[in-house]
Amino acid sequence: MNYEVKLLNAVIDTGDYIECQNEGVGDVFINYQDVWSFITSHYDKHKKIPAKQEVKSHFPDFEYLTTTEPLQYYIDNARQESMSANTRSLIASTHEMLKSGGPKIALSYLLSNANRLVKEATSLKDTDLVSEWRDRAKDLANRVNDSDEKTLGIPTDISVIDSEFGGWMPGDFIVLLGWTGVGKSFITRLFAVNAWLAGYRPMIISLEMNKQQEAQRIDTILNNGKGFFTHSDLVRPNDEVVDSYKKWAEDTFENMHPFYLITSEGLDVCDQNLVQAKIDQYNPDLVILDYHGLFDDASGAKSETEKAKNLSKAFKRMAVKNGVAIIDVAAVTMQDGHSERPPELEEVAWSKQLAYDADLVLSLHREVDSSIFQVVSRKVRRCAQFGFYLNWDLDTGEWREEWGV
Amino acid sequence: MPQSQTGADLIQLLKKLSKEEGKFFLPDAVREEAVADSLIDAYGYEDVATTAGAYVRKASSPIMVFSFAMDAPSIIGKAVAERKSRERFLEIVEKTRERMDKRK
Repeated sequence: MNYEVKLLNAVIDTGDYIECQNEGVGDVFINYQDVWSFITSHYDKHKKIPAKQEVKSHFPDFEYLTTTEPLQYYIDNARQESMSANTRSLIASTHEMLKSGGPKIALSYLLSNANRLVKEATSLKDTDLVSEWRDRAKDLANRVNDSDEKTLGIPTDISVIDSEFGGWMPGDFIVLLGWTGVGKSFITRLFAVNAWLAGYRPMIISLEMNKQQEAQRIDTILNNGKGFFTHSDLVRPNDEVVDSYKKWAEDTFENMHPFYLITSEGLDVCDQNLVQAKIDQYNPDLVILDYHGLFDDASGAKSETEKAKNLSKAFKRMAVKNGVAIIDVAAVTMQDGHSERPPELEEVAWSKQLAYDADLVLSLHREVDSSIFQVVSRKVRRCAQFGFYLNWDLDTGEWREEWGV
Repeated sequence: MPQSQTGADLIQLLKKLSKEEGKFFLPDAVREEAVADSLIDAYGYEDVATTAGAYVRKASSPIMVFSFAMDAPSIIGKAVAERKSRERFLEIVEKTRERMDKRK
């Protein structure tokens, strides 16, 4: 029997229209959309689900049966069946497209529509805050008693960010601002490395550097001044460190969890669909996008401003939908050179949307050849503005927090 | 800088900076002192003097007090915003340090 028929009968039997609305079941109806519309408009007018006799008088051919299971059972079944039907249809269309348009067009079509399907299958998360206050009180008590739980999100190992902002939490969209060449990419790799060291899975999508350059930076940051090698030793191969590097790498990486790196070598297009596909593929805890301006927009923007805006909204939604923290590296507008200070919020390039969407805008500055990074929040959603210095030797990888220079 | 700095001091500064940058200072005896005095009244000698260096470095035409006065407001506005931004950064760092110390 058709899942739509069973669900409609269950809705009529239970009379629980509110549950159906909360679960967003409207999307699962294809052949019986007219019956569902009748039920919803009846409820809107009369505040009750119509009786079977009433439905029968409008739809004499509709099959009536007695349901035996709770409503949720029929909702889950209907969702599963509807998703399966849509997936089969998508695969069939992609197959046709593969024959007529070739693999690139077919893959692009598959990625964008697969994302839409996943989105449709994920209902909005509704919560009654009043009925859940005990859970929140219990959660707070647990976190106070357990020192490991005090940082809610992924720790950065930078005490100011962890203590003030609570680390990177699922759904966070963080924008990193800085003038060109001040070390924006470096600091995001530090966040990724420290997340990895804490047991989380970072994923960096780097459109600026190749795999070798990225690996050299990440190795240097992981080395953290322990003396096995320097960044220069890796960039200009130093035969004296070959053995110590091998020993260090074996101790560091053997039997450890993954650290994903996606570089643009061989990629024709890198847009929001590819980012979502990589999240689906690797299921990371922290995503770093470097950098905003180099990503393509799948929604067909006609200008740089529109592109920046579309991508910003897409990345924020992606962070929330996937329950993952996303750090997006953004450029700043520069007229007559740049200033010797961390950029302000209004200096973000192309689109103010980035500032609107972000849970945290972190601004960074470093004077030429200096080891002192000035870091300051420019917008922050859950604490007061914060700022600090990092004293960081980029060649050895050694870093420490400081309060003054 | 002492408050007693006058338009004449600013003119001397512009001449000196022009010489250092190898640029031609064009005198305008009839109005330059009054214009320089007015600039200092409006913005204070310190900000005007800071801006003068940047103006002379960038100028491609002869250096005149009148031309400087026409450009100065926007350059001074930017310089003041820069200074305030740096001060605000230091203030945020100090407040963060105080909060972190309290938590220890």
